[in-house]
Amino acid sequence: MASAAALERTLGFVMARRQETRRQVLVIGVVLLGLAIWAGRGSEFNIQKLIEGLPKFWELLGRMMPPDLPVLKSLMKPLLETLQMALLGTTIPIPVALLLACLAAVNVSPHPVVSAVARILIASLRTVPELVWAMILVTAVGLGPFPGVLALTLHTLGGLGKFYYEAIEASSPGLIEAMQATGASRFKVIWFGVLPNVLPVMMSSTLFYWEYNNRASTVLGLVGAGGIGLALTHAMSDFRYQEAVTCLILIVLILAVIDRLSAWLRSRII
Amino acid sequence: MKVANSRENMVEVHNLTKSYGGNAPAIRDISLTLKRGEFVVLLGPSGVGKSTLLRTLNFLVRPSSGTVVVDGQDLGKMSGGQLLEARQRIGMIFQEFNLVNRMSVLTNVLCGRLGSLGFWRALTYSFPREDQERAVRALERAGLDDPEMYMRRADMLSGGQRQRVAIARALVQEPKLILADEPIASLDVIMREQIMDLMAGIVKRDGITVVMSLHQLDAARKYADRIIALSAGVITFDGPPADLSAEVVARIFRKKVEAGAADDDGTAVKMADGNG
Repeated sequence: MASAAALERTLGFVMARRQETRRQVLVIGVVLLGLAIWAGRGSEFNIQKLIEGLPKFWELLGRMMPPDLPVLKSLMKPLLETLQMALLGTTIPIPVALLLACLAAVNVSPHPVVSAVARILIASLRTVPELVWAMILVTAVGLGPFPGVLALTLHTLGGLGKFYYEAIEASSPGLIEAMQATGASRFKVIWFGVLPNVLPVMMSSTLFYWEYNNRASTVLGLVGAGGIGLALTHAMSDFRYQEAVTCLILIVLILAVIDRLSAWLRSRII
Repeated sequence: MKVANSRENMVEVHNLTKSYGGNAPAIRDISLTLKRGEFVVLLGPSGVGKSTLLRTLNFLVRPSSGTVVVDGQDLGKMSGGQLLEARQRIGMIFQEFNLVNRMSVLTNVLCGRLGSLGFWRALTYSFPREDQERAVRALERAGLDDPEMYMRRADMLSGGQRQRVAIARALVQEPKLILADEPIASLDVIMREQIMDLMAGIVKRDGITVVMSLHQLDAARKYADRIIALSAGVITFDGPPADLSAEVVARIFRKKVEAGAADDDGTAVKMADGNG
C-alpha cells in the first residue's frame, strides 16, 4: 500500500533526525567534559586537599561556637549602615538610569550616536564589579560607607540602565506614534507613551537590584567600605571567631527578611 | 501663489515620493489637493502605500522628496517646534487604537492635549481644568457618555469603545484634519458601522476634514465624499464613489486577485472586504 510506503518514509526521516540529535548531544557532552578537565587543571582543583582540610574546618567551626551574643548590640549600627548603603545605592541610580536608558533605547533616542555612547557607558559601568569600584573609590574618598554607596550606585546604574532601555525598546511602536501625532515633544512621548507601560518591568528590576545591593553591601566591608562586612573582616583578622559567626548569622537573617520583603513588595506592585 | 489656494484647501501634496532604504518607493510622485470638510478615503489592498501617504501628512514619515502643505503651512520648511505645533491641529487614529493600556480612559484622552501642556505639568501628569473639560466633552462627542467608564483602565474596554477613546483623543486636539489609518480593520461588523457613522458625523457636523485609509470597498462607497485609490505607490483612481465602476474596482484590487489566486474579481473584492 502507498500509505505503508509513506509511513516507512516518515519513519526513516524521523529516525535519521533522532540519530542526528543524539550525535550532537554526544559531541556537546565530550566538549563540556574536556572543558571541565581543562578548567580543573588550571584552577588546581584537588579533592585530596579538600579532605585533608576538613579537620581544620571543623576546628574553626568549633572555635566559632557558641556565637558571641552580647556583641549583637554593637553590631546594630554597622548592620543599619549596610542597609542604608544598599538603599541609597539603589535609589540614587533610578532617575539617572532612566535618563541614560532614554538616551540609549534606539526607539526614543535623539540620535544613533547618542544611543551608542550611552550603551557603552552603561555596559562599562556594569562590567566593573562593585567590589572593584569600592577599592578604587576607597582610595579616592577614604574609608567608610560613603565609597560603598558610590560603588553600589555606579554598578547599579549600569545594571538598571540596561534593564530600563531593554524595557523601553520592547514597548509598542504604535503608542509612540500615537503620542507623536498629538504634537507631544520627545520627553512627553516617553513620559506618557512609554513610561506607564514599562513601569512594572522597571519596578521589578529595581527591586531585584535592591535585593542584590543588600547582599553586595555586606561584602563591600572587605575592602574597607563600611557596614557589617567591615565588622566581619575585623573580627576574622583579630581571630575573634565567635564574634565573626554572630556577624554571619545576622547577615543571613537580614538577607532572608529582605528577600521576603522584596517578594511581598513585588506582588503588591505588579 | 499657493497661499490663495490654501484658504480652501486643507492639504496640498506635490510630487511626493517616499522610499525606505534601497527598496522600491512606497509612494511615487504623488500630487493631490484635498478640500476642507471632505471625507476622503484612500482605498486599496494592503501594501500599496496608503499608510505611508497618510503618515507623510503629519510628517510621522518624512518624505524622500516633494512637499506637504497642511492648512497653508509647508511641513517640510518647519523647525522641530513648529512641526509639533502643526501636529496639534492634525489628529490621528489607528487600526490598533494605540491607547496606553495602563492609563485611565480620561488620561488617554488628555494625551491629546500634550502638545500644549507645560513641562512641569507633564512631568507630574497634571492637566489644567480646561483640558479635563475638553476631554470629557470629546468623550461625549465620541459616544462615551458614562462617566463611570472614564476612570477605568483603557484595556478594560471593548474594541469599539477603545476606538471611541482614540477618536476622543484626536478630537481633544481640536484638529482641523484627522488622519485615520484603517480604523475599522480590528473591529467586528456592527462596530465598524458605528465607528464609520461617528467619523462621517465628525466631518459633517464638526467640519473636520478626514483622510482615512481603508481596504473595505463597501464602507468606502457608503461614506466617502471622495475616493483615492492607490496601487503600487501611485494614484489609479480619484473621484466620487459614484464614478467607481466595477471595472475600476477590479483594477484596484487586481493585485489581490493574483496574490490570492481567486476565481474572479468578485471574490477578490469580497476577500478584501472581509479581511480584518
